Amino acid sequence: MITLVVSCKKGYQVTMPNTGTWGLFNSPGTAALPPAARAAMEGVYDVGNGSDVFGSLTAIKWSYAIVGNDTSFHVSGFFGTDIAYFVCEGRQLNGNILLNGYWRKMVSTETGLVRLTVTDANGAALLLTPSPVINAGDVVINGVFGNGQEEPQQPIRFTYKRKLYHSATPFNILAHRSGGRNSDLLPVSENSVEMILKTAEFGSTGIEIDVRFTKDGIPIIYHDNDLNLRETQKSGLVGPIENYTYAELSAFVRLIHGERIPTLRQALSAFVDQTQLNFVWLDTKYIGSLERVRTIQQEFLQRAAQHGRNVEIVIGLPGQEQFNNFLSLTNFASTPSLCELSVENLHQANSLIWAPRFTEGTQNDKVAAIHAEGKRAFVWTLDVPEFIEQYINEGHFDGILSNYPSCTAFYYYVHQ
Amino acid sequence: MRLLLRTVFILIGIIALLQGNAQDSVFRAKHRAIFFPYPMYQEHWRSSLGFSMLTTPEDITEEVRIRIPCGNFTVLRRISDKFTAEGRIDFQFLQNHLSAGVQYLRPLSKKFYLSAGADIGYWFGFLKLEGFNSKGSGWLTYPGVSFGYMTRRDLLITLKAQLSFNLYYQAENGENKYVSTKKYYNGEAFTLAIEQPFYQRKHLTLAFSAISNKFYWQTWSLFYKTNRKVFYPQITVGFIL
Repeated sequence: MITLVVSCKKGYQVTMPNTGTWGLFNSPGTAALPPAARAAMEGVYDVGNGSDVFGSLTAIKWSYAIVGNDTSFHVSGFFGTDIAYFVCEGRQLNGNILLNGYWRKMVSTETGLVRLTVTDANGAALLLTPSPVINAGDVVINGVFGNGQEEPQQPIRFTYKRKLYHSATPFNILAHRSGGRNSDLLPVSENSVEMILKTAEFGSTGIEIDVRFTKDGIPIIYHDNDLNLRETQKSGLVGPIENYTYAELSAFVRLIHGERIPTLRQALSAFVDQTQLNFVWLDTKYIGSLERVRTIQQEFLQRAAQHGRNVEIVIGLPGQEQFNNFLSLTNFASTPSLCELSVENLHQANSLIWAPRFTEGTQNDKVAAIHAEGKRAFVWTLDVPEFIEQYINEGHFDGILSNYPSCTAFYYYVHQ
Repeated sequence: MRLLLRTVFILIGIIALLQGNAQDSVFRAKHRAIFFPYPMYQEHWRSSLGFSMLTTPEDITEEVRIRIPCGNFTVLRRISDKFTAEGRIDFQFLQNHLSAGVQYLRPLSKKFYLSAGADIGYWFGFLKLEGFNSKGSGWLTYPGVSFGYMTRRDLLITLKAQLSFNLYYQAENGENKYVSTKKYYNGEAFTLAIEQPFYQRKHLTLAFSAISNKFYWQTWSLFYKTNRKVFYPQITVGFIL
């Protein structure tokens, strides 16, 4: 039995493939893709070769994050099979477009390299014009994918089918814990600045992050009550995270991929200054005054407005204690909030958003009533692909919180 | 000659029958067991009442470490010297599991015993608390084999290996219903059970199971199946009635 336990534990690991091995992609003559080409390339594609592994459709979308003085662009493809996706960088070379990256299936540990090419004859010439207009069949992406670090050899082909679906009102693809759980073996830690910078690659348009306080009153981002090996590397510190000062946590504790536990300010700085994300759900994990969190919320909303960013930062009210503490704030009614409790509580707090648990169903009548009041409704935490598909196709929510934003992105963008 | 042969055969039959009865009466008196794969030569019914404790997987359920005892009632029914029917109810009230099956039993020697069989299982659960309006149910099948060793000191040791195949899954959240008829290999469970008389001929079962499943009915309200097998350690205690 011990052998079984040990073998089960060791067997579940994901080693991200090294994408720097495609010589052609790294050759000196490559150049960045123009913004118009990136925008025109976005769409729903038929999957030809490779559909047995990834399914028959993919939704392809670009995202960016600003790191230092550089803006890094990534193109992601979201699939309907096994919560699969690929993430690539893109360059042009001699009139062709090259996409180089990795693929991953979130329901398993499967991953590998992917190398794609749009030749000038297969649509690159069109995409690289100043104002490209793409119709079905105009762009064909050919390439190969492989398993693990092996040289990719299995053929894959995507053929442009139609534009990505966008509903009349904006739809929020929200990532739980800023991008997903540690148990899903992502390359960066949950609730980290690094995850905030990466989450758009998984299809997210917004994030949910967990707010706690340190012993010296610094709001930080961390999910569990205690310091533990699920969230952090071995540090020698144990027990409630509230027992430690931020200086102690910063000096001695690292998240499982080596990052520092971020403060709320650091997280919101990354969100406002370095991403294209437009929504933050502050999940208040502590019981206490919300005043300091609101001060930081207002500060970063103003900062975003100064930068011309149209974003929302809402204080989540998950329980009765947080709800009561919210009502004790001065001017609480004008403070952006999200209420997970009843519709009556939503009205009392004048929350912008009602967020019921998915286990109560799509509740279309209640959601319609919420919409009639000019408010919105999000649902959480929806992780079963079949449920995500059902809630998008049959429900009327304005956003879905999930550990698998790539799955939400697929079913939303391919929706017709 | 024909009379002689008939007499010999009848004598052999009577001796074999007496042997079987003698074995069974000794066995029944000293070795009542639920896991141990011993044929029910004389008894028609045997039953056990107990409970199991399962620990939810930390990497999936994180801080939600539920360890709710699950009661169980098992009944064995003799079909013949070689076959036994088994029925079992596992109950946690909010989620329950019923199973029934048939076992083929074969003594290998006086100390070693073997059985093979299959169960069909049905689970159902409901959760209607604040924030929950969920129901779930499903069908599974469990083929398995058991290997038993009887020690000289009345201790019965059983090693049981059981596979699990998911046949049907249904979940309802509010007005939304999801049904999957996808059949897939769900995982396996290995159990080490020891059974022994302990007080006034009462018999106790203590079993340790290593369950490795993609879907486990006791966790239906916490999370759906995973595409990898998740490890669940389980302890079962049973009192043979």
